[in-house]
Amino acid sequence: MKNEIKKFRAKLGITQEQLAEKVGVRRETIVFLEQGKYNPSLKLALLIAKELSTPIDKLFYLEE
Amino acid sequence: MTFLLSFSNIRLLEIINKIMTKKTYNKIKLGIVFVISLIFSISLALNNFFIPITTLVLASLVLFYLRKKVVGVIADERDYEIGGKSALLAIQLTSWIGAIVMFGLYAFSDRNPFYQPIAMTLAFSICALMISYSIIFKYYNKHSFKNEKRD
Repeated sequence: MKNEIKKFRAKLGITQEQLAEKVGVRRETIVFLEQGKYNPSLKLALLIAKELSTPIDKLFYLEE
Repeated sequence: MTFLLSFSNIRLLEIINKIMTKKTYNKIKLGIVFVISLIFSISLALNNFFIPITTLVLASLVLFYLRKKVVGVIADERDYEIGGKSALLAIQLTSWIGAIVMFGLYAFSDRNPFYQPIAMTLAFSICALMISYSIIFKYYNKHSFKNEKRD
């Protein structure tokens, strides 16, 4: 699974720390998510999509 | 005197509330673990079992209190996932190593009479570990494990 968290986060101009705080995870989790080394739970994915004001299917998608 | 004590307690609580970051918490945790291990080794050498138990209970209470004061997330879903995988691997490794050592000790029990009771203890310990793992796994499988409960 791939994601565009970094892109949408940069668009909003928020740091990894700020996003982590908003969704209630550690900053390292956001780092691993952005690097594609960790697949989030559905709850976390929905929270991130909500915080980044982006539809979840644009934020997370399966690799072709 | 009482006023001074209560004032210092309030100041201490204020300081704890202010400085209790994840980093400070981890440092205090490390310090407490060091103190516990020191007290344990000294107490066991002196054949005193009351002090280590009391220390352990007190340390757990202090850590529990400080953990509640930490601002920010100490562990999240990724940590729990890693924790689950690590625990499973640790159980599998311990069971395999324990079983191999147990059979080895049984095989050589005629050389040393102490090998057999050690092998028996090892066998029962491994069984207890695997049974407790299965029971806990079944429990969590039945009652879904929500993230909120683990914070």
